[in-house]
Amino acid sequence: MQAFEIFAALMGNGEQSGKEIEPYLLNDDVRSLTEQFAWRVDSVIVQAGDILYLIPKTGFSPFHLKMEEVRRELGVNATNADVYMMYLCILIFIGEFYCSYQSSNIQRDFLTVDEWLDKVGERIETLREHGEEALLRYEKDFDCNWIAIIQKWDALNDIRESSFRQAGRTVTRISFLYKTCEFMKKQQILMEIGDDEYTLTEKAQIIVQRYFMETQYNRGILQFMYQYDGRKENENAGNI
Amino acid sequence: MERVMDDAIKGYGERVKRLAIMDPLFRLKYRKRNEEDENVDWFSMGLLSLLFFFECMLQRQFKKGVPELSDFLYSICGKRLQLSRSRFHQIAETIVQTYRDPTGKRQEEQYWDWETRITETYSFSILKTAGFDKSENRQYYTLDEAGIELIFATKEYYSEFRISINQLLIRKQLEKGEFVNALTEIHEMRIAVEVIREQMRRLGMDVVRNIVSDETYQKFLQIVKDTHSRLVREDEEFKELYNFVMDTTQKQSADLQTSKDLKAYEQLLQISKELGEVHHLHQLLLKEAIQLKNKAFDSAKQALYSIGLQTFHFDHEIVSRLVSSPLPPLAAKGLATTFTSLHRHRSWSLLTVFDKQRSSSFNQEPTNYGYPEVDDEQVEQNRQIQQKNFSLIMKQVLEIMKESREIELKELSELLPSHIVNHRSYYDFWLVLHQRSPARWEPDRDGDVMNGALVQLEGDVLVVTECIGVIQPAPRFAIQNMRVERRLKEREI
Repeated sequence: MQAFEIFAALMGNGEQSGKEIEPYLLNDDVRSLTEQFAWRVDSVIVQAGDILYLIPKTGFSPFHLKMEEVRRELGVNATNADVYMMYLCILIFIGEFYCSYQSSNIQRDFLTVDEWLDKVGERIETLREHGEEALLRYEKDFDCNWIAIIQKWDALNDIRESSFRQAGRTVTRISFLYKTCEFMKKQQILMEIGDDEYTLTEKAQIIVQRYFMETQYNRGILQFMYQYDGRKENENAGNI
Repeated sequence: MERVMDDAIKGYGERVKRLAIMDPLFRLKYRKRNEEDENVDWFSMGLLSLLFFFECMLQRQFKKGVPELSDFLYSICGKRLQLSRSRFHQIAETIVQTYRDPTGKRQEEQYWDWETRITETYSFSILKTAGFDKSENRQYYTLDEAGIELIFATKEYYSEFRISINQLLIRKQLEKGEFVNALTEIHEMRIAVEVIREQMRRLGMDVVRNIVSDETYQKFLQIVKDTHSRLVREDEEFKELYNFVMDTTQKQSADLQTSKDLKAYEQLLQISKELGEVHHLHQLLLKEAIQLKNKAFDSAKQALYSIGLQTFHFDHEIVSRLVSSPLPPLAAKGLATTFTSLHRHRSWSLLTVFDKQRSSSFNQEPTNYGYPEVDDEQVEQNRQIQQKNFSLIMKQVLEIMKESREIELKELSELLPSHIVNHRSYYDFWLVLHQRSPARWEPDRDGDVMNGALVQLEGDVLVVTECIGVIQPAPRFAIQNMRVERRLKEREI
């Protein structure tokens, strides 16, 4: 019962600390049971000091945040392409903080939206260089492809608003990033520490350093990524 | 505000001087470069030269000139820079010239002193000549005052022994009786304590995030242990200092004769108070350090269950691969979900019906709970109509009753004409009568609605009592059945 209480609280908040998690720390049965609960919803529990975090596992699961919910966050007219673009932006954002082989700590104090915009632009350019053919490879299998995202990005023009900061309803790249910011704030990934300056929260850092950098989980993540490369190879080697 | 201003600019000139002596060093750093010395790191060369002269001073070797310096530089960075010996000679010459102007002018720094409000000129020299050998045509150099100070400014003891130094200074200042300065030292110490607190907070987070292997654990444990032992050491010093302050205070309290003594005593009291505060903060830190130690220990225990990667290049491993392979967009979703919360099922429970509900909207106009106001004219009009009605009713009633002394309302209602029974005034009439029963005419009640009716009784008393049953003489109205009794005036008395 204690195990379930802890688990339910974790489901609600994503993190839990203090007195409530004492049974988890002290009692091995409670601990293993809670972990099993988490496992069943495709998540893992990471203990960081005296705080427990419930982290969804990399991959797809019916228990994870649903597409429709995210779409609702982005506005009425949002499509799947918007959502994927936002995911890409989030990953790029985090990547900007962890970009060194020398150290496992974050490499910068904050990121501004302008810089973020540049980085996203760079990545999109990289994608474009692959050419349509390569990008269309997955189109048959998936309901969305990169081309749609690139087009989406191009459609969001930022020429009109070179000097003004716009966080309003206008459909621009910057406003899209602000929307992403809002989403990330809600998900406790980023904090605003100054005017237009954003940084990762403690929770996000824990996730990167304790989940992505954990050998066991890391292997799972890499497997998840390789699986797509693998598929490609299998198709090529169809004549065996 | 004035105090802040005064304290802030105190010793402004001294500070400028300390910064000014670094100027030649930075001039080297931003030296205009030409092609051949593109990768010469002038800044570190300059610093190395200073260290060289300093070390020579320590070892009492004073016959050092440009050739020795160039040898020294060559042996340290010759391999790395891949430059010829003669080139190093040039470098050494340039450095010496930078530190000591060949024209013989001293280095000068002009500045506006905000404290004294005058323009001051500070001249200093870093290198000075230490003899001249005419036979070999050689000039020797050694560090001048400013040069030595520059070396001391780069010594690294500051941060770590900051508090200890502050403590020593306070002690010295107290011994000399400079109480105001001691107070400033205490404030500086408080800042230092806050710096440590911030360091420890960051360390705590790092510990939690980073301990993934035994190696890192050892590293962190060492830091934590160092911090702890340092805090313990400082704590002891604090206690000593506190005792010293107490002693001084007692000594001072012994002779309080002049106002100067009194002022000093007050300052001492404040010093001991503030020192106590800082000490308390410091002790809290000590406690936190112990917690931190436990935290590190816990984290290490957890690390037994897992093996972490030493480094992980998120940008490279995840983001770059995503766009360069390219992986399907769906993969982006899979990776990003890790950072989001779990899907929360939203359902509507029937029980929410019993939850608190907001039943009225806030936009409605506030309900007026007061009675509608009726103007006096209308009241008067109503009263007159009612009075007329009542006399009419009484007339009819008395006609029906005639000689009989009492009658029930039930019978009466049947006998009365229907236009009276169907009128509301009829029922009002009985209600008022019942209330005022036994009712008789009273001479000085002009405004009374019953006036006209009761006059007709000719001094008799009308007693109205209710009896069983409700009657409904008209479809619209129902009234309790009543017995009406007319008593003669004499009987009543």
